[in-house]
Amino acid sequence: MDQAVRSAVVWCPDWPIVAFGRPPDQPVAVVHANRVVASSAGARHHGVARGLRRREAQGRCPHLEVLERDLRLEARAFESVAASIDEITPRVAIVRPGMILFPTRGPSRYFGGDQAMAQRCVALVGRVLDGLGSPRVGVADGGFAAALAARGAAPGGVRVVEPEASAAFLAPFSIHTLDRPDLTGVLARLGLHTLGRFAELARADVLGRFGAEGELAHRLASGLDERPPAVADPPPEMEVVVELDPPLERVDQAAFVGKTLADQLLGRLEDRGATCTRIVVSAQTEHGEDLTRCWRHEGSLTAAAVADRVRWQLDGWLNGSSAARPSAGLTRLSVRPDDIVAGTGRQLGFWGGRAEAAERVARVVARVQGLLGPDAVQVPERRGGRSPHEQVVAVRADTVDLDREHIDAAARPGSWPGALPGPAPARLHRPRLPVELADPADQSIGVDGRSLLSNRPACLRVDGGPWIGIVHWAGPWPLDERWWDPDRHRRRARLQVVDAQGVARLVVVEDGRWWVEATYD
Amino acid sequence: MGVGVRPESLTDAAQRVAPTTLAVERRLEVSPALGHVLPDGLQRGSVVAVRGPGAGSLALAVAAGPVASGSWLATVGCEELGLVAAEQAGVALHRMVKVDQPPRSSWGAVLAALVDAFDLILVSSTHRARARDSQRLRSRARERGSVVVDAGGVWPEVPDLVLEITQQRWSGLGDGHGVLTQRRVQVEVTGRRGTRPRLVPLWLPGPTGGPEAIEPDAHAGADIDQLVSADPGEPPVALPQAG
Repeated sequence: MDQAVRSAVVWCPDWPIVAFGRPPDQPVAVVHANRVVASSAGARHHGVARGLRRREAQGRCPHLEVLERDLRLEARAFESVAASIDEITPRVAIVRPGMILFPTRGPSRYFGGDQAMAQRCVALVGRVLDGLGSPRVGVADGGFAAALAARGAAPGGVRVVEPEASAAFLAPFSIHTLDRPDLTGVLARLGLHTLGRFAELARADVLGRFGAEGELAHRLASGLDERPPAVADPPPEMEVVVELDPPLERVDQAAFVGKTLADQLLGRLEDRGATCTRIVVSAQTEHGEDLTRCWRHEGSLTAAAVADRVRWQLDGWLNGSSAARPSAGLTRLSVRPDDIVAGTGRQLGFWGGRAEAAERVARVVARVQGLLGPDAVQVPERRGGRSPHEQVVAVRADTVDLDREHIDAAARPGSWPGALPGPAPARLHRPRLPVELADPADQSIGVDGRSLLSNRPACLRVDGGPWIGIVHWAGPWPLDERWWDPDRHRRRARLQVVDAQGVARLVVVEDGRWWVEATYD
Repeated sequence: MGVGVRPESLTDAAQRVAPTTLAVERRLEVSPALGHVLPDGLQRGSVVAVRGPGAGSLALAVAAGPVASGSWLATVGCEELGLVAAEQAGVALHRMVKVDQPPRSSWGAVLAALVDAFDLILVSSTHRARARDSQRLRSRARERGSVVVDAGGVWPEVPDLVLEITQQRWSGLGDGHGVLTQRRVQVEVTGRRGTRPRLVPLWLPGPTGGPEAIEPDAHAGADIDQLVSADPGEPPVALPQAG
């Protein structure tokens, strides 16, 4: 019979807010993908809860400060918290920015019991946070129970679940605390609303019906760890190392290194059909300082997740608080898996395939973003509109899933009334080019209030170039957009023109001035 | 892990049973519309320059075929490229990535990175590439099997293939009426090894809205004037022979 490792969890509530350095009483919400992911106590007072849309949150609390989630900032700020626990135990693992897990056997004995050790954690972390938040500590058998105990503790307080009482402690909790919506949805429909009821089922039955994931959830519900603790250390050849010459001092250089290390590490693990749940990132500086930090993940780590954690950690070391910052550049960086488990992940096509191509593209996109900045890489996204500028726009590549077949599968919006039919111009001028149009008598052409031309256009001159005769033309087609909104109201008329050289252009008139908006290149 | 097979032997086995690369696979298939322009498809690892008026549309038409069969397209420095036109040319937008014009110093590094994952790279720029960058890029593209399409006179050396539009004629537009519907162009195809340039007519776009082939029949290689004389209308416009 396996037993859970007695663990402590230090939890800093509302970490996404604390990382921004906002005091808890100020109404602040952090959003990601237009949903609130964290809100301060001041915002919760006004009813701003997780999962709300940005607009809803602003509706409930008009003076709410809305911040975009910044995982790098969160990780960087958390490094000093993790470093403060180093005084108690070297076996600190960061679960995510805001939560630390460590085994308590040694430290509790040294500091005189779980309660005393936990109090000490609260004091140490509280000193680092400096009034911006109050940490909570939970101690129990198994990390999952310890995390729930920390949630149940009072702000700045400690909750200790007695040894071998984890199963009883977990029993009344809702099944949804497992945070596996696909599985818990089914369990709730089966009438298993609490962890205790789920834990009563025989493990073999759960495994037979729900597979590996079900078994894992059952272990957690019974107060055990996800897996029995590994009996052997991972083989040393699994470590991936890179010597950095010249020494690394800026974190943007680190991003690329992190990615390479992550790919190597995952490659080695894949060869063994394994994945890992904990990675140890270590670095050495020119002055011989050794920095080490362990990151933990509840599922198994993907290459992107490993790369993120390596980058965050380097960011934390290089840009963190001045006390913890290394005194020189990093000369050696290594990542090693700390806890290897058999992989149950997805299988790629035997020869690679489309998914592999998309993954490769995603990797290269990340690399180019590292070179040019995140805004420099975009992908097309279909929108509605009347002009070729609006119908398909380019959006930042990291805001969408690159392997998204659905962009073309999505029903194409029918062409908007007022959009020009026929082929779209292949060249959109940005900024648009000024152009002069003249009639046969060399008078410039105007458009009256009823969208009629003053005369037929005979020649044009683009951007101060030579005059060229017009062979064909049609229009003007008026476009009166957003007339209800004084700020964004636009009134234009469009003209298609083919000049004597055979070049076709889309010409618009707006506020009495003519522009070449696009060329049918 | 209790796996009895050594990873090295697995890799060996995978290599032994992997399908052999045929000469055909060293080529990217183009869409049927370009069947006469590029009868053998695109040679992987080559550099194709697209020039003349309508170069943008032609570059998109070249890219459409490979992208439809699973290749990815990256555009670099093509800030003015019309994305709606790309879609009409048949480019699957979900396999297209747009990269802003890199500064001259990092142009080579960005292109080298892109070659690793993209089969097609469409480049355009306000300045020419440095010879050093282009040489390195070419050898890398050969190794990886990517095709670089130069739509803006970026390439400083002689490209492997030049597609130049020498004549174009729009139809559908009259004198104050109508709307642009289709365009007939003549593409001059010049290979690298001193072969005689071929003249190929093409709809860009044609009656269905995308590029379409024009059967060369008896007029194979003939001038566009003779080809279009069948349909009534304005005489075709000859282009000035400027770069």
